[in-house]
Amino acid sequence: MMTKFQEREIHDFLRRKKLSAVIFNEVYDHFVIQISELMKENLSFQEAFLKTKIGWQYELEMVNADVLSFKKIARIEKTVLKSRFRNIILSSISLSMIGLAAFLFLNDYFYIVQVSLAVLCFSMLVYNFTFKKMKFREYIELSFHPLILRNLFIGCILFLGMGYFTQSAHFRDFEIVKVFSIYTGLVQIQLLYFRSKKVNVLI
Amino acid sequence: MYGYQMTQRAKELTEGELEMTEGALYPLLHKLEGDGIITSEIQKINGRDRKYYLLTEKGKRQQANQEAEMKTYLFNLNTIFNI
Repeated sequence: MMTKFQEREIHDFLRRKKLSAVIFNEVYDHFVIQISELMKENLSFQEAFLKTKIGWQYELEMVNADVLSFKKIARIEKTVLKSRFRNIILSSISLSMIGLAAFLFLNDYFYIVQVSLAVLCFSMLVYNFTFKKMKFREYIELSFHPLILRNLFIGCILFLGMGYFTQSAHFRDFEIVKVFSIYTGLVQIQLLYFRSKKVNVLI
Repeated sequence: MYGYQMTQRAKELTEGELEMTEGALYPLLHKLEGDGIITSEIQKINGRDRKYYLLTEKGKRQQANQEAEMKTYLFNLNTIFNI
């Protein structure tokens, strides 16, 4: 039987791994059961704890969150976040492609979509702040989110590239630039949406 | 079923042949949950939050399909090696 002090030791060890609440609760519960089971096999708490920590060493190793981030997070957290980001990127690309198909037939459609996305983005921001779904510190973190920074970087290359190769002052009117701006808007909206649902997307 | 239970059940059913890496299990469960294959509910056990995972209807259909695919695959493999 584990004492409160021993449970506290596990708690403190996992706290240092800076896991999000959802993953923390799951891993903590797993650690407590696994250690308790090992203790039933006549291992002391310290031995069982060490054995469990060794088993989880790879997943709990602190790694760089992203190429564009200095933050260190546990590998398990990074894997979960990467999978979530992949879904955000894929759904944004799919919707942008639908947008592209629409732009080919309806030229004025782009401005309607752009304004709608901006309104939606602003509304979600207001909603998140009004209903305390997001703190100001989290908003700042979201503003420098690796997905947004990456989009900014790609956007700059795209704008400069289009301007340079076409030598046209109207390079912003090209379909690819329009689609990309819709894509970035969709990524931002999804990040705000996940935040409103208290799903961790911050790194 | 919850995470630890899954690892133990897999070990038990395969008589220790299949040992799941515990840490690799949770990202996979989160992905399946995001894809709507499984759903979860949290219960308080001994003062701790325990997350139980359940198959959704979509998950049950996918399980049936993959089971059928796997059976066909194993049947074909068996046929080839028994020639």
